[in-house]
Amino acid sequence: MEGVLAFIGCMTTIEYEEIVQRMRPRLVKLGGSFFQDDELAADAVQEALLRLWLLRERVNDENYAEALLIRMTKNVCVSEWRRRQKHGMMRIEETSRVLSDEGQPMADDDNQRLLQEAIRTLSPQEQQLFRMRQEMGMDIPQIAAVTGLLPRSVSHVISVARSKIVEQLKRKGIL
Amino acid sequence: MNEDMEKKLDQLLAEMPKRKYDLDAWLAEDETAEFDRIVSEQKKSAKIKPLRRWLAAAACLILIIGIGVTLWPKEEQPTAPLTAKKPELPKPPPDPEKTLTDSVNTIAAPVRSLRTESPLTADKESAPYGQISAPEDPNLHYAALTTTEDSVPYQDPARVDDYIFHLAEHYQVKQGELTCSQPIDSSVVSSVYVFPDKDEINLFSRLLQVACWYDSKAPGYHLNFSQQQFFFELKDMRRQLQYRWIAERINGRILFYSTQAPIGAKESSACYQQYRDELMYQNSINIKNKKI
Repeated sequence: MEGVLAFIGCMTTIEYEEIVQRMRPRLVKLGGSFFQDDELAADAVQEALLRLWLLRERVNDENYAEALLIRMTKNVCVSEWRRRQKHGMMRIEETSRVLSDEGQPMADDDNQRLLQEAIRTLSPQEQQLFRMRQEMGMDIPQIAAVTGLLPRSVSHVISVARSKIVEQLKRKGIL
Repeated sequence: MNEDMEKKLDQLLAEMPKRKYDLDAWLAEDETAEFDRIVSEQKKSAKIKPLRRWLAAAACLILIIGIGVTLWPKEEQPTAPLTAKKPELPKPPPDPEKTLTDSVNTIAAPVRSLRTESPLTADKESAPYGQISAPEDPNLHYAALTTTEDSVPYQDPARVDDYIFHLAEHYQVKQGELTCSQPIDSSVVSSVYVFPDKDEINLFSRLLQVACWYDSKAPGYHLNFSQQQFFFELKDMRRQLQYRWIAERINGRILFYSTQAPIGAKESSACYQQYRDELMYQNSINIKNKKI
């Protein structure tokens, strides 16, 4: 509903999708003005949108959500710029994955360890979408909004990723 | 994929340890100032880039112009005189021939020598001293010049004749004919002048200056002179001619005799001797008449 500045309670998934749909082009433009590179800008925006998803329970105001998105996009851009100044040309999504992996708690048993190994064998896009779906609990429309992909494409990529993981786990005798 | 596998995979995924994110840090983090600073710096550098391109283009243009200016004189060289790079000889004494030319406004008469052009034309006067005065044929390219190699810079002996011709013309001294030479050898050309022995003409000094203009190492160079006689010989190896000039003081006159002939041709002094005797005989008659 237009004109509603405060969410009732926390931000719902629908509200999240609406904000993402509305803000995405603006954020991409912001990232593009910083990087002069569309891919890097898209990666930065995606990272900011993911952060907003994880923060959705703490955001109860639409204006605040938008301001937060802009600020987080700038933060991601600057941190990426610093990282590139230090290390080189790795893409944000890869950086994010590496950092996520570093922050990943050790699996308690062999099955979880083998599952993580199977996920790492996926392509970067498959890993990204699969983790969004499984680890962050995002729905297909939300992932599509964040990544800018069509929902059908997101669904297909996640399905393929799941099949590959099953195959991997079958070979290792877990399934 | 059967249902058991699906269930087992879902169970594994559900048990997958959840990541921990520093949500508080994300909420507190604010790099807006740094973001704006970087963007403004990037805009400045973006403005400088076109300026650099213009500077590079201007530098290239200046370089091209510089190269063009440097090469320009080299492109002009083929139109310059052929002998422009010849080593310069020591500066000669004042050329009496040229002095004479300056004083006489209209000197442009054909010479009775074998050459077809006067050596005192504007081209030769403007040519550097000591340079080659090769046979001039406008139809010939200078690259097709004679292959004769000169041991010393070529100096045309015929210039002596030209000088004498113009000197005689200036002082209105007529050229005498030695007809007796023709039947003997048509290739031998001789001429004779009788100059008044006056300080104004100062013929001996002028002849000596002309002889000294030539390099003493020139082919056939032979100079001998005294107060009474002047004797000078040269060879032109390009035209295969030998030249001889004799001047002699005889009773208040100076008999000047010049001859040119192919190298190796036999020359007889009989003609000259005959003319000299006639002159001396006339003189003696004149002197006797005056005395009477």
